[in-house]
Amino acid sequence: MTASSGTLVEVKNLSKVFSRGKEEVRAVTDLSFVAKPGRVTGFLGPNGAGKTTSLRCLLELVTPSSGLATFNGQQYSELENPAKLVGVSLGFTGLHPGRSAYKHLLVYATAAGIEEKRIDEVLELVGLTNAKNRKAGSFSTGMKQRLSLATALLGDPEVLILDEPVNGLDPEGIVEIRHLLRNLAAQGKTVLLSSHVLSEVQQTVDDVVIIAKGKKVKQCTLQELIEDTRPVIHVVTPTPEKFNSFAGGQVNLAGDRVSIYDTSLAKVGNFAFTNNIELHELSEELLDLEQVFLELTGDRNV
Amino acid sequence: MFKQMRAEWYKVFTTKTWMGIVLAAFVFTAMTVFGYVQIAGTLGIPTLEDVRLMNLLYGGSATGVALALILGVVGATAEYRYGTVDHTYLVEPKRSRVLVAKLVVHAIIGSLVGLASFGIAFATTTAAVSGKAHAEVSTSSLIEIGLATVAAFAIYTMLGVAFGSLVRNQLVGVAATFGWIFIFERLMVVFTPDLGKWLPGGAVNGLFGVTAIMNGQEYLPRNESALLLLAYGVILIGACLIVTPKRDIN
Repeated sequence: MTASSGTLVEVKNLSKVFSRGKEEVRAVTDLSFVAKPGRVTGFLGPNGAGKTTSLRCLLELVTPSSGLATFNGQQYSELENPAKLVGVSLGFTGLHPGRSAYKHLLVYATAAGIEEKRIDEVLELVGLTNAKNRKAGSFSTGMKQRLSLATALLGDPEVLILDEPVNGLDPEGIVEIRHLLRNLAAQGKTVLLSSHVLSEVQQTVDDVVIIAKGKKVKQCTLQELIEDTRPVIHVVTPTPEKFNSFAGGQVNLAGDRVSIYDTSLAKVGNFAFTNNIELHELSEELLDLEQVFLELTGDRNV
Repeated sequence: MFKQMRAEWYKVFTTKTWMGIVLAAFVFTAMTVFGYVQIAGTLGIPTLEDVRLMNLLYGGSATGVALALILGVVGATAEYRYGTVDHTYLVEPKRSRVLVAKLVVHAIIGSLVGLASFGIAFATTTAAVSGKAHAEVSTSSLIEIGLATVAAFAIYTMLGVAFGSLVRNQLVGVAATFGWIFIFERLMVVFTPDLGKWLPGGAVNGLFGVTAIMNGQEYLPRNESALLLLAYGVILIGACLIVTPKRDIN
């Protein structure tokens, strides 16, 4: 695959075991997934699931115990000028508090052989132009997050790897980053972003890779994940027991409240009308994506 | 490599940390010279008419090499303290290249600070002994002391970078450096002088060739001291170049 057709990020059977004294901690186990060009891939899982360790293995900041990760078949350390192919933001750390935003970018632009005029461009892209001479130590978490993103964008890379990029951002900032990332994916770039909150990135990602306890539990498109959700119809009625005879879905009774899974509003409405049941409420919980995510990652007691 | 060196140069000079350390080295040097002039001829210290004391005054910045070590330690450990090491190794994943660039740049900065420290020692000595009877120091001796100062500062700054890269924790690195220089080495030099002269601090004293007069301790000759310092450099820098590329950065 050439650079013009994008860069495929591929993780193959990646495992990482840390040794803490005599104890071994298995952070990532046999993880495999791909992130494709032109798409935003969400790398999702609860805190401690192994997302950051996986990304650090991918970037060779951490040496995997086994397996490997490649960019169009090349490992990170084999890339000729990695900053021009892969842009990375590992959160809002990695900033010297005594160094201004502009000078922070100057250091890494210089190391990567990137022209200085690009610094102003990326500062503009992330909305930090007015703060470019301020020291990073005076930045809010959101501003640090933006500066870290600007660092990732310095080399106008084919691939963006972002660890929790919306952490600490206000709602307006989240929307801006979403538009930016969607725009970059539309240009054919590969975007891989991690998050522990699905709802934060739900409107940004095309594909999802979900991990829990270091293991992949699902890789699919966001649409496929949505299709996995089970619609729930909520009914409030003085005669809930009458719904025991409803055959079009799974019925749960709790007081005067009835929850019916795997059915539709129309079927339940028709059943109530046909059986002359008095209804005080009839509603549908339209999107249960977060609950699916929590079920997959084992974070929900169901 | 040149790009990495420029980036390392910017890393040092885009913050103000270096100013405090260098200023401390200068103040340390000036205070040492001024202090010795004040107590010359007392406490067993020779008078200003003894050329050995004059050599010691012009080499007054020998005491400031501790700050050169700190400059290197802080330069290396700041990367870990603030997490900038991530971006550093992402831009250049071949870590040994980054380390070599950092070592070379710090050696250059150390040399410049050493040269400036020698200038301060020279100016302070000239001013402090003005109007007092004192021995003349030959130009060749002054040149030797100047070169020793530059070399000691350059090597100590590199040792600091190597040590800092191995230790990674800034607080531990700085505390260990001060503990080593101001407690361990001092005690070793005083109580076990035969061992003390083989330590880096003893080698610096030998390189300057100026402090043997203080406690009767004979340090190694200048050339052997230089070789000993270089040997410490090779060992510590070698360890740093072997260990650092293999370590995980979490």
